Amino acid sequence: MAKPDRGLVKRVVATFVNAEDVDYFFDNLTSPDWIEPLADENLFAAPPPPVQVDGGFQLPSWSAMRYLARMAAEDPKAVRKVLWVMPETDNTRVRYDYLDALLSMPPGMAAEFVPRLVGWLQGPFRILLPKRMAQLVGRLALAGFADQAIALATALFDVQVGAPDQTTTDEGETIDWPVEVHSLIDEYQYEQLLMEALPNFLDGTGLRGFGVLTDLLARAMTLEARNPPDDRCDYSFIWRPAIEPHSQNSIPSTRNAIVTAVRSAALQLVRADQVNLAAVVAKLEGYSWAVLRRIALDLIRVSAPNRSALATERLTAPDYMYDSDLHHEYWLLLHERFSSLTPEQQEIVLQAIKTGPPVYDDQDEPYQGDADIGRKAWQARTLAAISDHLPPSERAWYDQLVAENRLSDHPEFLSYMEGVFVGPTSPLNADQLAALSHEQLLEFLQNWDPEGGWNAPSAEGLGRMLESAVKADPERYAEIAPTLAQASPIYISSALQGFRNAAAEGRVFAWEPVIRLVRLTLNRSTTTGPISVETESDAHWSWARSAAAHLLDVGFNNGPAEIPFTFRDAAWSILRPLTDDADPTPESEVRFGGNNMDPSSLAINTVRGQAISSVVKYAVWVHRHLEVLGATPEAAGVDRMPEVRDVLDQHLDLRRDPSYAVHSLYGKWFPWLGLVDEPWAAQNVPNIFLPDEAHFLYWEAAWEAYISFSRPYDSTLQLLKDEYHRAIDRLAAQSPERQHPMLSWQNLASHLMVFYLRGRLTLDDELVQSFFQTGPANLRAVAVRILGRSFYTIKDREALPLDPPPAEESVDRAVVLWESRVAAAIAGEEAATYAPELVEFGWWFPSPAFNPEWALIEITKVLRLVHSVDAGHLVSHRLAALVSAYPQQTLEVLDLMMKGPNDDWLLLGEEDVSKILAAALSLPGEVREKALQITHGLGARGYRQFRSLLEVTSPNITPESNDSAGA
Amino acid sequence: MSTAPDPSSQPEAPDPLTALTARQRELVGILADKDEGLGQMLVGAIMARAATNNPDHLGQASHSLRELIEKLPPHFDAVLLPTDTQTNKVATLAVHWSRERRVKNKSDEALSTKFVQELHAFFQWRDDNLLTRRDAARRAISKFDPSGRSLPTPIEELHAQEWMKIRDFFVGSAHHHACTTAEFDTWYNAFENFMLNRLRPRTFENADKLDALIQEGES
Repeated sequence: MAKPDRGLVKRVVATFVNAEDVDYFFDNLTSPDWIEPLADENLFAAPPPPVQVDGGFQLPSWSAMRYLARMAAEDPKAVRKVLWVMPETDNTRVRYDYLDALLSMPPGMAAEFVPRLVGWLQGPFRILLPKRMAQLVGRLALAGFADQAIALATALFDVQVGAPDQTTTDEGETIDWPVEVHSLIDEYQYEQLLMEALPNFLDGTGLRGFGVLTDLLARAMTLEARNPPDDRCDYSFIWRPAIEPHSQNSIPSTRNAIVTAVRSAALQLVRADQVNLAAVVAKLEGYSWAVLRRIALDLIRVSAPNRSALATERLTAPDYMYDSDLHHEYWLLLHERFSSLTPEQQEIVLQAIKTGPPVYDDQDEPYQGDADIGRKAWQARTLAAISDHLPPSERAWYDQLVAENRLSDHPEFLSYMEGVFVGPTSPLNADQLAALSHEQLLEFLQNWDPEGGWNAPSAEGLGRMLESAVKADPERYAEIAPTLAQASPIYISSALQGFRNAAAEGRVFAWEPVIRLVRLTLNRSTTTGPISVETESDAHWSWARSAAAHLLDVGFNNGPAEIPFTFRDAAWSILRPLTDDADPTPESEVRFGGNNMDPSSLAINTVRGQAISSVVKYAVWVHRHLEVLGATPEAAGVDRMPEVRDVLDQHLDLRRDPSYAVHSLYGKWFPWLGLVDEPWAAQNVPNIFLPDEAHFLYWEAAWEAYISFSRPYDSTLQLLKDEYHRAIDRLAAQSPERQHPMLSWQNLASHLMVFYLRGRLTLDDELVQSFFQTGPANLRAVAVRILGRSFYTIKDREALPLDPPPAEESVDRAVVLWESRVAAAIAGEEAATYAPELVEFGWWFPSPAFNPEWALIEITKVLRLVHSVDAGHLVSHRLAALVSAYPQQTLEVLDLMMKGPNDDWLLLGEEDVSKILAAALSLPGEVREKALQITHGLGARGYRQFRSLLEVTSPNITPESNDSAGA
Repeated sequence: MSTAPDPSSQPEAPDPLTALTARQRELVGILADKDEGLGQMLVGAIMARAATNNPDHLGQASHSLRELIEKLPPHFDAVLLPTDTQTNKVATLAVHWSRERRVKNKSDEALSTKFVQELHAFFQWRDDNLLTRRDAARRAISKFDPSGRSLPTPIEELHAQEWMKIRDFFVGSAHHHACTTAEFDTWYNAFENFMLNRLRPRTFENADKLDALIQEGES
């Protein structure tokens, strides 16, 4: 059998052109015989270093190391020899494969490398390594290389602390926050790796290995201690309430992971009879830290035989009983083992309980004055552990302590964290509520008194249940709606909210009694103000008014649950007072608005804001019904509803209503105001969109609300053209960070493009010109994308034609705009500034609405100008459909895409690229040659899967001549 | 001599691009994609080489190729020019050195951490910017690889040597070191192959060759 030699390796090296050739070679070697001649030619002498890129490092993979890792099991000596002299690298990807090689070697050889691995862990580059190292720890230990396993484990699982966070008090004193240890490796991996490595590690290292873990825990406690070495308190009863697995141990941390590992290790050693229990306990109790002594108590409870002296000695020792740091584990041990104590031993325990910890006698301790209460609570807690086994007299004593309320719910813990709060609870469930008669319901709502307390049934909980019940059966509750006005406001707002939700879902109910409920509510609610008012009762009334406004808002919607038009006067009579509500006040706008909520969002969370919204809905409701009635009154618009005009005029006057939130609503509903009364809307444009800089915030409130919530209506464009101009001017003046993320700016781009496609704006229009000349590049890109995406829908990466198809004129308009942008880019001095727009052509190209020849020409231009396009996977899909008709142009585009700065799109586009290349390779001449070039180019980038395409032959090429076709 | 071509006759001057071989056309195309000037330099070199009635045609062709080789790296994003001069950098260091306490006090005091960091930055700059010819060649040709990855250093070294030999030949020939047509053609072909192998790789053909070599070593 031939063996490779240096001569053959030199020929191999002479064949290498690109990095991919090297990777291909190493990845396809199957024999370790290459190792020596490759090493002689220095091919293992230069591991690639990390490559610094923007914001971090790239870690190049190294095929030579992958080869060594594969060969390590077959010829470990040869691999060991190479690894031993290989230069160090910080490239952790190479180190990862290095570890793979060590894991495949006999452990004795791998053990030689441990000092090097420990060095790696002490350096800054550790990513990818811990899992392999943990495996090696176990492997070394099992094979008897305890020293090396311990050295590696010690380094791998070591902990450290950072500098403490500091707080400066009002008095200028600097306070250090407690520090907490963290692992050198990824915190989330730490516990998992510890537990994975543990079984083999202990099997191989026994008590010595256990000592590594206990030392690690002691080291963690020392690092965390605030005043070492005098203060040996570790506060573990707080951060580790139970040593055993328990829901109270809810906070994952490095120190908790170590506690879990020490406990598991102790149990493993004892259960496997590897080390006797007393030795393990002695090891744990050799430390002064409470957490290790708690682990010892827990271990005794779980593992010690009945009547074991280990348990008895500790249960009868006051030092253990009185040590609050040990409470949980001592309590459990006492609970489980008291009955197995002798009567004499039991008596010792009971006497110690009667005496109680000396801390309650110490005049300097914090219990001074409450010592008796403290002692009784301690006694009740401790007696609870053995309450089932108490003699009658002690039982009576215990019962008395319980009767005195001295026993906590969870006596096994010094403090107990309740579960997660899930929301207010109701005294009645849905079925119970539904079963109540009207009278019973009213009586219950009026008379039920919440007891109070943590998680106890509350009025809020009952309110929520009532809201659900009303929503489910609005017809039934509408019948008694007026009587609900006698209930607490919290239940009124719940009922109104229930009616609102029912109406929103189209559930029909009688409006008359519900309107009466609102009227009665408003009569009872004498004060108005924001929801954050001082007293709870006021707040509840505010909620009720807000719920009324929301209810009316939905009631005016066109639909089955709509308020009958005959209730016009009644509806207005309850809506009108709400428009005078004090909420929002200037103070509440400052508190809840600003950076917290934009004005239009704030508006719907206020009574007056919601009421003004409902006024617009009311106006449209009236308008709609008057149109249907076909009435031809003398008046038009809001003159047909003077009540609306008065309110709208009143709140548009900033002297009377200075609220930004309320003002924003005029912008939000501007198209609808125009629908109801165009002259009024036109006349009030300067009052709504206040043009002067002094009122910029009012302009912004109205404009943001308009552009964010309104569709691009042609009629509105005519009224607001100046405002669009103003918006573009102000957009150009915005700081970059305010330009992009705001939906409103994107909507501006969207509006302009929709108007343009409809022919309402032309390319020469000043609005369009101004937007593209002064708008930021990312918004121009949004506009271009919106335009392209207007011509198809996507299903399974397929761009499907619109149904009905877009008008030819709009396609033509889109084409004209696109060509103008490309022309601008070509004429511009810096094509890069146009790149964000041009790459968006990737969103145009998939559309079947555009002439494919034109689309191919344009995408080629883009790729030549900016070297990439967006949505590459959609582009490749379309190219696959075009390749048979336009093979040369398709290949040209594909080639240019391949040369782009990234090839992420190939993840989704691989199948389409295969189709394109297979089709082109089956063609003769230049097309096939181009396809060959691209296929080889893909290979050079590491896409080896395309190699099989070269088997595709063109009709003019025989298989024999195929190989040399491109040479 | 007529002042204008005879409209009845055929044009005689060949179109430069149609006179090129397929591989020359391909390389011109690749270079022109990067920058039109690069493609023109190559065409110029080839046309100069073909103008055998010019006694200095090989020198002029070599000059064009030397220019081309010098101008290639930036078009492949390979940065070879220093960001500053070493003289400037050393002058700045000297000023800061004079402010060090050990200099001012003529003592053995330790250098300040700031100055040590400055020294470190200086040497890093020097490594990054003052490239040896070989480093410059390595940096340039690593950018020719379509994968964006580098070859292992020993192989990159071999390729850099090859590149420098090609460059040195054209530098020498451009400076009127006599060369024969055969020598010129050999080195031109070496240049063309070097470029096309990297910029228009036949990766899977190379993979076939490597398969055969692996087979030879493992059969």
